[in-house]
Order: sequence, then C-alpha cells, then structure tokens
Amino acid sequence: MKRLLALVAAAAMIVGALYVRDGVGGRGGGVLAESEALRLICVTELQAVCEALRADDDDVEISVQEAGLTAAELVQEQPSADGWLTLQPWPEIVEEARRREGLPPLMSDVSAIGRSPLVLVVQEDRYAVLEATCSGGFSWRCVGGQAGRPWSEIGGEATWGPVRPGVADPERNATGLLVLGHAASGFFGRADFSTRDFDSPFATWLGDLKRAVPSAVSSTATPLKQMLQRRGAYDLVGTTEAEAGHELARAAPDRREGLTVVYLEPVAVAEVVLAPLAPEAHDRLAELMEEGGGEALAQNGWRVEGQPTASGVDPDLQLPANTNIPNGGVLEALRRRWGEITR
Amino acid sequence: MMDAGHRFVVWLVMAGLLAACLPDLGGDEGDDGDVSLEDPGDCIVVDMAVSSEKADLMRDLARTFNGSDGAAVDGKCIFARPQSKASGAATTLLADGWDENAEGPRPVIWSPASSAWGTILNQRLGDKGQAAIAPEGTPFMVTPLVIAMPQPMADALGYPEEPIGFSDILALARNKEGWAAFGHPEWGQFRLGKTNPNFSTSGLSALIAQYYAATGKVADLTLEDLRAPDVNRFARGVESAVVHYGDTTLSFLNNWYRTDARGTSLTYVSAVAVEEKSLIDYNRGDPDGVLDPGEEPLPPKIPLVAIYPEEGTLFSDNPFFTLDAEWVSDEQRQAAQVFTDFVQRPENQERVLEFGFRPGNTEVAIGDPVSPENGVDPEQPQTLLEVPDPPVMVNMLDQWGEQRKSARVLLVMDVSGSMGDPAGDGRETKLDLAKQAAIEALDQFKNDDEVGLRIFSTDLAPEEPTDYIDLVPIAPIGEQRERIASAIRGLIPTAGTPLYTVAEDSYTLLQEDFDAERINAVVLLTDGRNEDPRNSDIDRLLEILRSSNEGQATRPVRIFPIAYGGDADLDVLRRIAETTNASAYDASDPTTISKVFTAVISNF
Repeated sequence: MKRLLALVAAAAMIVGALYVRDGVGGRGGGVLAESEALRLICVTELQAVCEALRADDDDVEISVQEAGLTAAELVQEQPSADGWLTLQPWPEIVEEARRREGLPPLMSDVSAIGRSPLVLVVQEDRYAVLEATCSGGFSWRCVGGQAGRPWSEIGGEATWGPVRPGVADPERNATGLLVLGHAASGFFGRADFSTRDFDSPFATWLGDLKRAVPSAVSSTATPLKQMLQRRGAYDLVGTTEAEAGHELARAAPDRREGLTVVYLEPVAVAEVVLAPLAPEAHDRLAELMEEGGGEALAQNGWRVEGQPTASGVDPDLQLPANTNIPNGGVLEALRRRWGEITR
Repeated sequence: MMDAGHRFVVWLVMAGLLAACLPDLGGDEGDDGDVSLEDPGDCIVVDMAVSSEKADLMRDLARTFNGSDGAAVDGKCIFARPQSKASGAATTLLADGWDENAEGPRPVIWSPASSAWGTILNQRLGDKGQAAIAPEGTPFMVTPLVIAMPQPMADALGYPEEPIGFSDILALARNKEGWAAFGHPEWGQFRLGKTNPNFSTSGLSALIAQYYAATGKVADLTLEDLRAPDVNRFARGVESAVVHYGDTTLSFLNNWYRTDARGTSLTYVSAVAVEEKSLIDYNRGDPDGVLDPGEEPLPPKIPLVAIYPEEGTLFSDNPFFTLDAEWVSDEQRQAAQVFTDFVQRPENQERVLEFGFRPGNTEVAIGDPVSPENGVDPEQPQTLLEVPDPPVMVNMLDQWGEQRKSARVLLVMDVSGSMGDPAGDGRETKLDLAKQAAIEALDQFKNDDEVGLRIFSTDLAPEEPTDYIDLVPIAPIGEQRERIASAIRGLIPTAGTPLYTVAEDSYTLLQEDFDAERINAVVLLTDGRNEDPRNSDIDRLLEILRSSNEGQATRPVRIFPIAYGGDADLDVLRRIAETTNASAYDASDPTTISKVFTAVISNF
C-alpha cells in the first residue's frame, strides 16, 4: 500500500512540476506583456527598495515577507509572483529543496545586483570589554564564547546584565541566516567549512550563542531597530552595512550615541538578487533593475556598480570578490541546527 | 482546582472585564471613555481600538490626519477613528466576538499597550482552531517598567551610585527591621505596592521580574524554577510586604499624591513598579496623566525616582496591529498603512514625548520630559528581562493566586429601601443585581482570606447597634463561603442609609482586630447618601479615619466604597476612600456591578 501511495505521490509531483514549468505563476508562458502587472515578492529587508520600484512604476505589484516563508511556499506551492527580490543564498536553498522533492528548477540567471558587507553594531563600552577579554580580539567567536555570561564576570558593569547578541531569526530572516553563517565562519576561522566540521565545541558555542539571543518579540522591528528604540535590548547586533548605515544615519544623535560599527576581517558580503519566478517575466525584471532598481538599492545603502553610495557606506572599504559566507547547503544545515537548539 | 489553561482563560476574561469597566479610576489601563464617533462621510474608515493611556493622543493625531492631503488611498479620503479600549478588554472582544452595538466598530488597527496582548490574542484564537489576526506590529511608542520610590528613600539606599535591583527591593520588603536598617525608623516598615497581575500589565511585568529575582535568572524561566521551594518562600516573603494590591498603578500614584500633600507619603508606600511614563506624570503634578479642564499640574513636594532595576526590566511597546481579520478590506488595510506611516512621522512622534512616552521612531530624540528633571534617565535601562513562555506565565499567575498576601475583609452591604428600586431592564432590583455580583465575587477570595458580611440600614436591629447587623462574622472564607452566599441571597431592602455610622463602626472593627499579616479592608456598597440625622458629620468621620491611618505606626485599614446606582454619594465615598488610601468605585449603572465587584476584589 505504501509503495502504491508513493507512486501516486511521485506521479502527482511530476504532473505538478510540469504544470509549474509550463505555467509558472499562472501566466501561461511567453513574454510578459507591458500591460500586465509585474508581481514581486520582496524580503522584509528590501521593503523600501520594492516600495521605491512600485512608486516608479504603477504596473509593479509588491508583497513583502520574510525569506523563510517565501522559500517554504516556493518549495510547496505554485509561485504567485514573477520575481523574488531576496538575498543569496535563498534561491539556492529553494532550488536544493525542490530538487530533493523531485521538482524541476524554478529560478535561473540569478546574479548579484547589489552588495553590502556584514557588520556588527556594538555598544562601545561593551566592545572595549570584549576586545580586552578575548585573546584573539573582538570576533564572532569571541561573542559566541561570552554570550550569556554576566558582563560583570568579564570586566563589564553588573547593570549590563548578560552578554546579549542580536541576530534576526535565521530560520526565516535572510539577513539573520547570513549573520549566522558569518558567525559560524568566525568560529571556524574560515567560510569553507562543512557540516562535517560541526563538532562538539561548535555545538556548544552555537547553543550558547542561540540561548543568549533574546526571544523575538512580536514586532516588525529588526534587532538593530529595537536596539535603537529600546535601550538595553541588545549589546551588539549583527546586520548588513546597508541597514546599519541607513538606520544609524537617520537615528537621532542620542539614539546612536555610544554605538560603533565593526567590520570584521575577512569581510563577509551579503548579495541582493532578483530571482525570476516566471520565465516570461525575465525581460521585464531586467528592465526594472536597469531603470530604477539599482538606484533604489543604492539609496538604501547597498553597493551597486555605477551608483553613488548612500551615507553610512564606508567609501574606503573595498569589498572582496567572494562573499566569505558558507554555501547555501551549509547555511541550510546551520539553519536547521539553530532551529533544533532548545532554549 | 482549575487547570492552567482554564486559569489562563479565566485570567484573560477577568482582565477583559475589569479593563472594560474601571469606572472611576482611570489606570495604566483605565477608563474606556466615550464611544461617540464622528461621521466619516464617504471616506475609507480606519476604526481603531487603542489603549486608554494613548487615546487622547491618538484622537489628536487623527484630527490632524483626517482631511489632510496625505489622508487618501487612490484619491479616496481616509478617516481614522480611534476609540479607547483597554488592552485586556480588546483582547477578549477580538477573541470571543466583538459586539459592535455595545462596543463600537470592530477595529482595523488595534494598538494595545504591549505586543504581548497580540501574542495572547493569537494564542486564544489558535486554541479555538481559528487563524491568528494580530500580525507583527509596528511599535508606536515605548516606556520601560521602573521601580518608583520617593526621592529620600532612594537617597537612603544610595541610588543611583549604588545599583538597585528587584532582588534588593524584595529583600528590603522582607526585612523586618524596615527602614530602621537604613537609619530611618520614622519611615516604618518597607511597604511595597503591587498591582494585581491578573489585571494590570505593570503588575504582570513586576511579577515576572519578581520571579527572575527569586531565581537569579534574567531569561528562560522554566516551570521547574517556579516550583522550587526557595522560589516559593521568596515569593511569599515579598507578598507579605504588600500594602494592598491595586487594580491599576494609578491607584497608588493618586494615593501617593494625596499623602504627599498631607506630608505622609513616606509612610504610605515605599516602592511601586510602574511605567516610566506614569512616574513622569506624577512628578509633573499630574498623577493620573489626565488634566481635567481647569486643573493645573502641581508637582509633589517629594518627587519619585525611577529606579531602573539592575537585573533589567521590560518595555511596553504600544504596537500598531493592522488586523488580518475578515472585516478588514484591502482598501482599509492600505488606509491603515497610510495612518500608521503618518503617526510615525517625526513631527507626530514628537507629540508622544508630550505624554511622557519614548518615541517609537528612532529619528526622534528621547528628549524632555524623559529627563532627569522628572526623575527618569533616558540612558536607561542598560539591559532587559525576557518575557517568559506563555505556560510559564500561566503558572506564575496560578501560583500568585496562592502566594499573594491574605486579606481580612468585611463586606458591608446597603439594604436600605432604595435598594429595592428596579435596575437594568426593570425585572430585577438593584439589590438583586448586587446580591448576584457579591456572591460571584466570593469566588475570587482564596480559602485563607478572612471575610465577613455586614448589612446596614437605619433601625435594622432591635438593640444597639441598631443600624447594622453582622450576618456572618469575619472568619476564613474557605470555611464559610456558602454561609456568606446564603446570607446574601436572603437580603431584602428595608429603611434608610446610616452611611457614616456603618463606615465608622466597620472601620473600627477592623482596627480593633487588625492583623498585620493581612490586607485589612472594608468593602462598602451603598446606593444612597447618609440619611442618618444622628450621625451626619462627614468631617468628623474623615478625621477619625485619617488619624488612625497616618504615621509610621499605623494600622492601615482601607475602605473601598462602591457607589451603586445613580443616587449614591460618590463625592463622599471618594473622600472616605482617599482618606484611607484606598479607591472608590463607580457603579452608577447598576448593570456594571458585577464587573465593579471584580475590580474591587482585585485589591486583595
């Protein structure tokens, strides 16, 4: 009986795959007409970019949601959009999941259209304590190693409470997953580690890090926004330069006072991609990025070739060609490990 | 014995009921105010349910917004229409069904005091197999929970040079030596004011902080932590120092303010956990945060200091939830987003500051009045406590019900002739409704509470005292709950209202048998004014109450009057309550008596 059900399920998958391939998003194939609305799904981090695109073009429809939610939908359901503005390696994660499900590839020609280094926004006084405490200086390895310990035990003030890093939920947030990958790279001292390297010391380090990250509150605010909004929420936050530069530049001086932005070596880089979900929308998506997409990204703190940089972007920092972030498979494994850690 | 889930539901329902009534007091979740609604014309209506402390601000913002150029979606005007709705009440209404005839329009935007209410709502809906409707919200403004303490007391403890945590406060509360340990025997015992965590968000936050202090943790409280014998002992020790449980923090702040005027604030209460915003209001001379027409703020003689607990604290974040509900159209959703963006504009966020909150928009500096001049520190807090998982919170509340300070209460019920007047739909009398409410309220006492029943009316008894009868003497209610209920059921209306006599004698009775280990109180329900020519001197009565309620060696007995029906003398009852550092409750609409009784009993 089980075998029969498996056969039925496999047949259904194949039919579904053909349906998806032939008519993604219900468009019916061909080239998307100029008169048809272009439907974009945007990760929350890029909401402002998408809103700028919509403001420039009445035929652009946007929906904004966390990368993890979109990824789950793209593995299980027929896409209802033409393109996905997201961060790497989420398209890779989706494609791998689809491959495991026996589904055909969905996205092609996915390339970076904007880049931003990953940074840590740290309270200066606590940065100094960590610098002095950790033998190798300030690093993610150091942060994870001290996470959850009372500051008073490592030379800080008792009123600071425990060491509290801020990471957006890697299970659903695109930046959060990159920050987790960056942090793990910091632990291993390299980005090309694999799941075989997930040994006991790493598990301990990762568990301590996760348990020290405060539980998410029911709020749209990112950890950095919460840090600026509610004093004491975090001691340090991992994010992109794009967010840090933008948020700190617009924050009132008293809100950003005492905060410093730290670029860790080697610099890790987040990349924006516009992944086509419907082949017929490919040209329109390319046009969209040429006409205003690059500018919108740049205005929101992303580094885009040929575009001026926004305030908060370090003009002296040249980004490496590679991302120094683990590949999608490893990030997906990290994401699962993170989800399995109980508080 | 109720299971935890049931208890949680009961808690929510009670919180909702209470928050819905709170007639006379205002509160950190106070008066729901009027529900009169403006005519939106042909505009897209964005109905809003907002917690009461920001209702005035929101109405102001809506007035600025409505009719402005930006108040439009696709060329169609938007009309934002806020109504005040306490967070707990709105949670219950959204979970159990929102009756638009009674409660006003269902909201498109819901803004409770804290995001936690959204989580609770979604959990309740989920428990019933329904989809969540409160998405992640946009914080509108924030304010941290602080420990409010009179300046001289904070100085005596060495704050701020010497950090103070919840654990220090709670240790003080359990120290039998009291303020003498800090060179101030004249301040008496260390007295702690706490709000009932079943009703008050501040109370719930303080309870969470108390458990963290008891366990030495700052995150990840577990059920095992709560069950530890040490933690239980710690909690009972803390509760023993409680003066009484307010239903809102404003009960304490109003009483503090009045005692300040009389120069006795240092012996009323030593510390209360309140929102920073409330402390700012107090120090600006506006303890309830609402200036009535013609009222001038007058700063207190002794200001309060905001102590930011060493272990960390919790924030109220006032989120804007655009509800994912079937009654919210796409057009309204878009309009709601326009209004949400509008209130986040820097010029509108500046207005948040006027009310003592910290702006949600980080572009706006945290300026005056969040400043040291008002007893607060914008640089604080340095760290936060985490909100525990829902099962832990439920268990916490369960335990609090048993650990809270026991009470010794005399229920005094008016059975004068006017109590026989029809009430509600006319099929029942005022006395019928009061009896029903009183019997229901008996269930809120724990078995260890001592409760008695007295009725009063002129010439009720054949011999002295003729104006009242003790139907059931004060004794543990666990042994006589049904006896009291039975006595209440048998009540009938009789003659006049000897209000002053029964107030004085009831007070004296509690004074004579004062039990320092308990909250000693009189609950006085009356529907009239004093009709006793033999005892008609209110000033004399107040002097008696005052003389034995002030000073460090007081035996505080509090009178919580309920002004029942439209003819009750609310002004006199309020004066009686204030003189004993209690609160008066307004049940001028007899149909609210059940809710009001619930609110009154929340003080114990």
